[in-house]
Amino acid sequence: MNTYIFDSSTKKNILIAFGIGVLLLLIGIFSYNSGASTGHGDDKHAVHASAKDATHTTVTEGAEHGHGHEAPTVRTALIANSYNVFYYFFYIALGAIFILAAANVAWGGWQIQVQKITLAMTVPIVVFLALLFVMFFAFNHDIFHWTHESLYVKGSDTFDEVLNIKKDFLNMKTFWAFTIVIAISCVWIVIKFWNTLTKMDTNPSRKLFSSSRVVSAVSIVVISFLINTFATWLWSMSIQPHWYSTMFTWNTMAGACVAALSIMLLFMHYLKAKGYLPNVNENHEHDVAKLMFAISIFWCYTWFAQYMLIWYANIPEETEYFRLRRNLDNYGILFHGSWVMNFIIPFFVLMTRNAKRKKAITIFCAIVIILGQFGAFFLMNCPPLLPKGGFGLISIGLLLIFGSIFTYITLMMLAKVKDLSSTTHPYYKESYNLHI
Amino acid sequence: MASHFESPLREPLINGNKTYKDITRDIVAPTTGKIQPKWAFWTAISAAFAGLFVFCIVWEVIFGIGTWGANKTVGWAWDITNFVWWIGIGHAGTLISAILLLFRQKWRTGVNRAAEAMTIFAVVCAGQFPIFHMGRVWDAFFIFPYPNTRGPLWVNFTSPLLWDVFAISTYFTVSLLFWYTGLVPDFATMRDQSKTPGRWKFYNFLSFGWIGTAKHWERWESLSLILAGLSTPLVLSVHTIVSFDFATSVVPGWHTTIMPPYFVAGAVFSGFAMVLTLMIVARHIMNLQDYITLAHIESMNKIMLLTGTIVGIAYLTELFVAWYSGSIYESYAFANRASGPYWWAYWSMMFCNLVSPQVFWFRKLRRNIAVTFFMSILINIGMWFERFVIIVISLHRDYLPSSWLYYSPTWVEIGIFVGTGGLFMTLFLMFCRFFPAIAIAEVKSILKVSGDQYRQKQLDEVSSMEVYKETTVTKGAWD
Repeated sequence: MNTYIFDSSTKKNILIAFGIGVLLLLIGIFSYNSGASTGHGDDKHAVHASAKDATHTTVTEGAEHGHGHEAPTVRTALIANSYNVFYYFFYIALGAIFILAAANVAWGGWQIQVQKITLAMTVPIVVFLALLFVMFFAFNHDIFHWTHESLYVKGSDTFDEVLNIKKDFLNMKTFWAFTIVIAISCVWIVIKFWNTLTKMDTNPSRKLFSSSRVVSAVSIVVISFLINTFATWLWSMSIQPHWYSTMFTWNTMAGACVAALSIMLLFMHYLKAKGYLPNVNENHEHDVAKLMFAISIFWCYTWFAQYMLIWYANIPEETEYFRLRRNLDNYGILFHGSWVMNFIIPFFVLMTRNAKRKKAITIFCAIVIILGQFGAFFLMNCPPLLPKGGFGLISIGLLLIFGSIFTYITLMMLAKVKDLSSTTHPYYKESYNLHI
Repeated sequence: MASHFESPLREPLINGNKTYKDITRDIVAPTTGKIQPKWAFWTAISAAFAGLFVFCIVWEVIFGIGTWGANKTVGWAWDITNFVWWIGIGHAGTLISAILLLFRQKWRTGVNRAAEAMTIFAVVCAGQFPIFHMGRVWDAFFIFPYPNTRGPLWVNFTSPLLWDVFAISTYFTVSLLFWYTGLVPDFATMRDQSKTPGRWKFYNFLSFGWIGTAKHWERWESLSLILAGLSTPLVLSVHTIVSFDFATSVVPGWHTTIMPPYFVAGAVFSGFAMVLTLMIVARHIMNLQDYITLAHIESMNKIMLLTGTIVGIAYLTELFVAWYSGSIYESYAFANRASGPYWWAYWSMMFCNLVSPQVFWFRKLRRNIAVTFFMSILINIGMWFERFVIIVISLHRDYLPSSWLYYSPTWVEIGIFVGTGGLFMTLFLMFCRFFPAIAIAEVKSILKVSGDQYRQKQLDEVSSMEVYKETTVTKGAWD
């Protein structure tokens, strides 16, 4: 039982989840204009309204948005939600790479038996990068306000002085240059990791062991300096292009890591329930739960520092971000709900040793964190596009659909792994003997 | 601790085929016998500098804050720079004792005691600056909120400066308790080794009459765990709140949201640099090379590489976002750092903190003691410049160009800063002489797992695995 078999019952369950997602999505689409979403009637320029609404720039609205954006609201909602889901799962896969790299570079012995799960979770990044590319190609004007040429015509009504300063960075050429470099580095890292760690299964050697550490160290540097930094700036922070925060990059990565760990924990319990990973016990679960606990706190730390410093200084250019999100009429519930789910619940539930070692409790927390981080990501990306609210069935439906795809790819890749528990790894015995 | 098996690929943390008895003897040895002339010489020099500190402080109290170079534009200068620098240095101790304990890093046992002592002494030094910066230091107790008859004169709970008072006093208290708790069984060991009744009484008193029963150890472990749990948020909170002193303001260059985490990373960075500066010297003088091995030094260098690079990312992020913000004041603050009259401070900071630690990518250099010692000094200089850059450069050119000026310290400020160095070293040297510089009980707890003589046994357990085919554990296998 050291090779995972992707059986038909699992496939069926994934398909059911996918089907429920489609169903929710369809209900969401058809019910969009009636009932659930009041205040969407005049949403012709909702696409870009936020930056204007919030900053009160002198630009008169509408002139620029009136034409070419006759999109119905549901179109905007679909674009915003799909983009957010792709970005979320891209980041979860990136978080998986980061966790894998950090564990390897720090000589982590405990995680050897479960590292193949993390490894398999990195592969979906390719698919979600491709989906993001589609969004960038097809809908860049819908997602990124700064892509409109008319903003940079001096003297025109739509001229935006602030964006004119930023145009050396916020322009399509820079955007694509960084996006392509990011994509290439992600794919390169995933291939390197996959090759190094799977070769260890058949041909274990000290040399491969050291190269796994080298790959880890290099990928941490590439992720920190390049991928995470520019992906958050260009793909997420620039959706609300006037706003800026230095903490934004680290906050995103912390959220991605804790969500990736939670998904990893769910996979671990799934595999154990199927009878795999015989020597993974509550000690390993305890360690994963500890990291979930710790990174939840770290996420909240970065979140709070960002919020508190902006609130305290009260500079309008900065507070616009939270004014759009904290308002109880649109995103207030999600805004407060997300930090309750991402911090309060994991913090109090996972605090004791016993809780971290109980399957039901950790699974509960993992699901809360995955949903909570989804909410947090939604709040980063969507409010500028849907300023009047818009978290609903479409968001949940898309989360389920692409979550199923993420799960399918991960399990498919896991089935290709020859040695699920990494029994040939030099630290295997440390992981086997783990006792805390 | 964790499992009794450790991969033979991991470098031993105790060399020289030590027994429990050897450990006791080796660590207690520097505290017994005649006072070495070398120790007396350096203690005398340090005490002289501590005297300079007292002299300069007295001078400042008598003649007032006007004896400093700080003024209306640069209201915070060397005082707060030095305060933040010292507080930062303390962080390594708490990180080692609390966070590395939670991560079950066995190498912490070799250096935790001295690093924790360093934390206490560094916080003592740090505390001097804000206290004497108050000017009328005899009114210092005004910072504590208690029912009083001063009417509307009351602490401002919305000010991060007040949060600092609470954060640092809590930090100091918990660090002191943690340090002392760790020392109790070791004091008992020293008592049992003592040859004179005076010495016996002294260490018996310090050890609270510890006799090492199972109940003692059980309580000791619970207390250590509770204190570790308290210290972990404290190590984050202290420097976070120190960063809030700046970041909650609307001063361009101070108000950046990334400041809290990178202040913490920077503090750990400078703290490890100071631990290395001291320990490299101490292990030579006190013959502790078998307990503070190259493996320890290498691990600490890795942490410095990590935290230095985190700090570097933060510098670059700040620089970029200052431009990206589109705010001319914000961009100017950063342009002025890089090319204004204090450009040398900015580039020293960049070089020492971001560029120079990159040498630790090379294993050879991580394990080179001379390089490590040099780097540890360089990093402490760099981290001092970081605070100087943030504080003085951001302030010296404010919104009103008529009040722009160039700040330089006076002899009093220099004297106080150098003097705190003397105070710190005096305390540290006293610690080395009278206290066990390495945690005896904790080192013993890892002997059977990480002692070099057990590696062969561990290799035998796994020698059937293909990956261990060509592994050897003879001396030098890990160099």
